[in-house]
Amino acid sequence: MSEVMLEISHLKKYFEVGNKQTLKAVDDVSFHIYQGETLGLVGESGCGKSTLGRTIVRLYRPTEGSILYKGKEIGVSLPRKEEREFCRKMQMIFQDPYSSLDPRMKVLDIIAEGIDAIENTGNAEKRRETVLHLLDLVGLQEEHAHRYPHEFSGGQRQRIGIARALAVHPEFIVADEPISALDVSIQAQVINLLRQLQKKLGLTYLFIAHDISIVKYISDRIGVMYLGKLVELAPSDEIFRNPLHPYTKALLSAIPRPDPKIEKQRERIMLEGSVPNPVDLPKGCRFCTRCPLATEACSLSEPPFREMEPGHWAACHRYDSAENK
Amino acid sequence: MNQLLEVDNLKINLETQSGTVQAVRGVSLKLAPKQILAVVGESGSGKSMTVKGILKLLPKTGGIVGGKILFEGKDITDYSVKQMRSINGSEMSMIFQDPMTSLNPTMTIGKQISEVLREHTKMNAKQRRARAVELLNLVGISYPEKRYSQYPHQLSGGMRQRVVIAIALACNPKVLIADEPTTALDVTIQAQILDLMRSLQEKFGTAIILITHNLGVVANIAQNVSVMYGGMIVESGTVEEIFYDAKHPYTLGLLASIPNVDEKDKELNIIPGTPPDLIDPPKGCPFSSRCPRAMEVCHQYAPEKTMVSGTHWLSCWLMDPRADKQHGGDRA
Repeated sequence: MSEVMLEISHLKKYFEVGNKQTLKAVDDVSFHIYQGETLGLVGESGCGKSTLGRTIVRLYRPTEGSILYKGKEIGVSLPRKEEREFCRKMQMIFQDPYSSLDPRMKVLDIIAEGIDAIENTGNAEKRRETVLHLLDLVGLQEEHAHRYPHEFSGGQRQRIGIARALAVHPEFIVADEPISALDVSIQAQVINLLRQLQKKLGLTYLFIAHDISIVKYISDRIGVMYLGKLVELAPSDEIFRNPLHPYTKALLSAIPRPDPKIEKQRERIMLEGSVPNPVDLPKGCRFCTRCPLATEACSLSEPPFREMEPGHWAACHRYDSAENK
Repeated sequence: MNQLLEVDNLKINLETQSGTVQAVRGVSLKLAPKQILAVVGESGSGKSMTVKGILKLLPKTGGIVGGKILFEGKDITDYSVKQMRSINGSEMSMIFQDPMTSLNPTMTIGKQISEVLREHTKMNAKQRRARAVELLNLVGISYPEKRYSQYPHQLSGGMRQRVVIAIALACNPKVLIADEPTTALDVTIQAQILDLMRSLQEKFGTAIILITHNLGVVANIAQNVSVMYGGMIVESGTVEEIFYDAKHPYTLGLLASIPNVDEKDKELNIIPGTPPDLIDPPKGCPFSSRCPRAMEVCHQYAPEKTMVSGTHWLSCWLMDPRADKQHGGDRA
């Protein structure tokens, strides 16, 4: 595989939530993101996947741990010039195209905002040209530049959000649920666009979503999160063919397939109950309260996140057990 | 088969600042007892408006301008909101998409359930409480006695949706209308809710209209499917007929836009363009401007209904015997 772009080790992000309670949104997570790949991140709401994405692009300061970008530590306070450089290199596409665009700004100014902040040359004609080029790149027309966000549909707005992210020539993009607010036929358009752009511009993506079938389609590798922990990480075909963690198995079996014959025969692993309160975490393995394979050992110590098979990481005490085969 | 609910050529208009939106343009549906019917379509296709029209829950700016709604043979088309009270909640009830906003944050769970019972039954306070606890138990909420006196914010999203379902079921309705009941939920919770809905249908014979855009959910639970586009039903049939033998180009496009995991390197099939503006709806077939196989006639005249089998029909000019079967095939 190609070079490592981002090296995340023992990353933690805690939030104080009052009453002397701490919400461990991301708790000791380590993994690599390789140059040019798409890493998918899945998990139920509240598992910390968005927090992880936001911490990596430096929207949050990590509580502990390190983030190395091509060998350079970026999880700390940086001098202003470097700060700006990393803002440029790492961009984000947000979930809701209705609230992530300023309704009082024209599309031209929305897309150019990054350019104005980072590489402002004062040349209005050049700025306009760049924006028009970007509009073309994401499949919008020149005349759209002088309209306001409310004049566009959800899919078109998401394209504007993508153009804005691309305006400053990023290398790495975190896409946080970029299609979950869109209709099925429009989702496909945006997914195709993201893939084309990746090929054309050599981008690296961290693609966060809860729709696992879409994630499988777009990702090279997939990471599964549960309650602030990464519980499994493997190439996407591998994770579907041979999931090792009981949570991954349950998650995969819960996706309804768009085929009535398969649906009638399919056996599902039903998880009991719901996700525990993240402020009051279970002891030991965090999944032990809902895990069909849990034993006493699981509630005593946290399983380490280790490479069970080449390139296939998981954190589970019961990996070797007969029931898990 | 005796129909429980029959909607015939329903038309609904909405007044907006920019003009009159013809949100529903002649929708016909039939629902038999115990049947689960899925209505699929993109946002703005009129699926929510259709069911809101049935329950008389339309916004003040909207109204039924044509067609008929029969519930158990009774014509309820012109029922006032007050008259509908005898039906809504007891005979037909609705589950909304967002469990965060469809519950009252200032009332306990138990009170919100017993409110329905007070309106529609003659139960006394003690009986209502017992029934509410029974309902919470039925929808799979643990410690129902304790939950009874809790507030919505103390429950997770999946739990809240179960409470919404418990409220909808309080009076054993014959028809349950669920508008995107699992869209706001995680897949593991979605699976639990779908199982719950299926068991209700089996246990109590509740007929369900399920509105969704998730074709996986449809394949999982529905017996019949109606596909809506531009305020009309363009194709309708049993779940097998729609998934394996769809004939309408829109249905085919929708099915093809689901990612197929075995063909990873292929681009996803897309339906180019955007849905029609229903303030000034197209004269002909609503899908004609995006249809890869559109013919001259499609833009000019609305297609008639063609029956493929006793249960499967569609509205498309390609089904007309005069249509050139070769046409558009190369453009598709």
